[in-house]
Amino acid sequence: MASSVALFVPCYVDQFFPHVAIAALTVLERLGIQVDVPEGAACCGQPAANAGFAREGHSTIARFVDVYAPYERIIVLSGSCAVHVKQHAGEVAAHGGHADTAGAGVAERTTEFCSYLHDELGVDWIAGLGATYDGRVAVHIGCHALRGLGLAKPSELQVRPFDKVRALLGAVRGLEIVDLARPDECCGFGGTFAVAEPAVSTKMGRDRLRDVATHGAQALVSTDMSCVMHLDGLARRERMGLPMYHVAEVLAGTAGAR
Amino acid sequence: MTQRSFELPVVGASGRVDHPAAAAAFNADVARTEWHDASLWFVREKRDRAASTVPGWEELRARASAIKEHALTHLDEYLVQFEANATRNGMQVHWARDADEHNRIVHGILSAQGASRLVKSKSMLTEECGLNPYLEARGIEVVDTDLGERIVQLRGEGPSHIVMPAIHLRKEEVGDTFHDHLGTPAGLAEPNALAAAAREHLRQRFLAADCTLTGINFAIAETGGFVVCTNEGNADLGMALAPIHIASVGIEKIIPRVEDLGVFLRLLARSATGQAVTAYSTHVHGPREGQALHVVLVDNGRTRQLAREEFWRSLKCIRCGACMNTCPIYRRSGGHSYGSTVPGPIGSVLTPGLDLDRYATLPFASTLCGSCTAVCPVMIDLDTQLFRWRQRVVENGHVSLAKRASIDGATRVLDRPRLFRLLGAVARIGLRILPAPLARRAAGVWGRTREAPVPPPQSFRAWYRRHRGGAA
Amino acid sequence: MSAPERSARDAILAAVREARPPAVARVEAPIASPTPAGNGGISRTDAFNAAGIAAGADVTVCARGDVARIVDAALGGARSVLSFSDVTPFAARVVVVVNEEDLVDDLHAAYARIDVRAHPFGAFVAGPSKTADIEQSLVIGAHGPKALSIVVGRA
Repeated sequence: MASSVALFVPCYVDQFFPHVAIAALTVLERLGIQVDVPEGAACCGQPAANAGFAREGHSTIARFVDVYAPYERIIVLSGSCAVHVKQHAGEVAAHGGHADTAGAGVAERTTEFCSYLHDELGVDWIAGLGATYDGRVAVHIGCHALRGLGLAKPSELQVRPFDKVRALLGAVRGLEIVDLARPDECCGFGGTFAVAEPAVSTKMGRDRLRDVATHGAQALVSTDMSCVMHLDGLARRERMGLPMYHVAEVLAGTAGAR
Repeated sequence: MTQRSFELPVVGASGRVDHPAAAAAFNADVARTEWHDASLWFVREKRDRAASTVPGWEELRARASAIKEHALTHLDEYLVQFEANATRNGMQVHWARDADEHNRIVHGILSAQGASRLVKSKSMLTEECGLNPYLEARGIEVVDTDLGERIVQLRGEGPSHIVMPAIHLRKEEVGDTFHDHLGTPAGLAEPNALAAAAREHLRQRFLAADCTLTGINFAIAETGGFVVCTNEGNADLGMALAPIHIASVGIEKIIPRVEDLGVFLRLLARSATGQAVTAYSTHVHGPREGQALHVVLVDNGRTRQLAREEFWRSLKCIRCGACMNTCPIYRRSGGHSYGSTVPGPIGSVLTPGLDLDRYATLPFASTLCGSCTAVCPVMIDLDTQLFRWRQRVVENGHVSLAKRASIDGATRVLDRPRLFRLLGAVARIGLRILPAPLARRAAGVWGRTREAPVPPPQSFRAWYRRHRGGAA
Repeated sequence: MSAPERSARDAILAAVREARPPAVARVEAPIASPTPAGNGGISRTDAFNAAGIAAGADVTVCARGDVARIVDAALGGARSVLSFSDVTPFAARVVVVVNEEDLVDDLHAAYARIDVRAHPFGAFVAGPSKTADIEQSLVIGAHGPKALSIVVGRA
């Protein structure tokens, strides 16, 4: 149990984007990581908490702690969920045979898919996957992954530039990344924001898509399927013909296969 | 005729600010929304370039934050010190618990001297206090002298931004306003010509004024002086001419020492407009000869915010407006949609503290993207505070029952993995078998502008069980 | 102070004491801000020149003997003696003369050198009066001076 690794597949990925979770699992297994996908926790409680119902969502994150406490490393396939677990699992009090440090331990041991690949396995190892992708893509890092987990230098900060997602995608032969006018503008999903503020959410998404299209990207690659669910929904409604993939799909070589 | 953003349905029938409705009305004019977004993004990019020229920018932000946190956690001591030193410098210091006390003090100073013509430089505090209508109802002529403030004053609007009050207006609209009020030729919309007309119009008001009122950017406890920052020099003009000078200031604007100004002035203008420093950073340490100088220290909800463990750090704000310029929601909904003197992320953190029921939608006018926190020169954790206000809004029952029910329902499902899987399957099948318009209706608001995800034949969990033999 | 204001004062101070969050200590370490002079080998005068021009000022660096001639020309013979605070907001054009030795690297250094209490009114002036309140279009001369000239005298 000591060196065990678990993959957490968020609820909406499980239900709507199983191919992304399969790709993530495939990548980890090819890299020689023994991964469990334990049952028993469908959600981390982030949607409820962001809507103001953290108290109501508390039982959800407590369940998450129960299920993932035994694991040494918890890889979350979403930036938003990973940030939520890291910030709030520590608030879970002792219960069900767990010490009150169990939550903090889970928070500490939780990471996100791209962060794990970049920080703990390293780009050289990723290059060993031999992934290829023929085309120009735009990269959309979810805001929580960007500013909450530090996947790349946010455009606001005056620090040394870095970008873990580009570093990972740099290991994919044939893939070309286009620069956007607004490198890290929010897509406008924002969980319940998408339905609570539909006008602004829609406008933000359309603006993001226009930035992607006018810079000649043939596809969008993202760290977060929640952003993609929103952007892809807008793009399909407007018949843009812009395929969207999770980083895991590109690394697994399944992007474009659908 | 485009709808004026001031006429947005900001306040609903309930008396509550309805940000989503106001934002939807703003977005009805797509071209205007895009122009507004681009104008503010331009300022955000100027801010980035200005910040990039300062070595140690992030350390400077951290220092500014530390100074403010120190000052706020010793605020009583610094207020008393400021009062003593300001009095020694020949200023008269007044204290106001709320907006009404502030307005009465200002009116009292004016009426004691028989003053009836007031020129103001920009002060968001007086907007917050509703000073203009209060004085006008008592026969005082109030003229805002900041160009943007004057424009919105002539139009009978409030500012839509704390640094650029008329950022929501096109030059043609300003031209129409000046034609109506200042007699400029119809159709004149060239910014230089309009500003020249305002200059002449306001110069007369400056010369005729018997009192000037300014805001204060920084009040210095150590010296009992204060600093007013403007680009136009309008505060300086008022202070140099009028026999009475009233400076209104929120109690959170106290900084301990003169040396702290170096930190704040290097950050303020760069964060606000991308300039290295404002054209005028004016230090006042006493009245001019023959002038009376009054300082009004105002609470108006600030001590209540200071007492809130989760929100007191919002009082570090130095009112640069950077969080508005970067906020993707502010840029696409306009300042008036917040129905609050201070709009944008910081407004959505400060204003709910005044009346949670009235401003309950503001903490939700955000995707919690965190860009505001990253530009804030005093490192206010704005997205975290917005998240916390959401919890307080729900706890206090300021959310519609419908929303509560849906989230409660979702939580019940998400707590029960088997039920979740079952409902997931129903949803997936539903999306596949329903005709598109029906599926859209089912997807409700989501489906108005977006397609629902293409339902896969099976969930990941189902695939995993089949291919990895996971235990049930 | 009137009695109601006195009670407002006491009430506010009492509320602040009641509300005070746990004390945060003051950071006393000096600010490490690499100066322009120490950053890329640009001279202090060059940095000042560049910053002044960026702020819309007209900067001239000249031998000290030429300063009077330039100032005379700029002022067009105006000789009225007014204090800085009285004249700057009204004048259409302001000329500031400064010794090169008085240039400092940044605001931290400036505050270390001046005593802000020495005068009731003192301003850092970075350029002519300006506004961008109409559609972000920069307009020079919103209220005060339409031009600022800085003459730096070099020994």
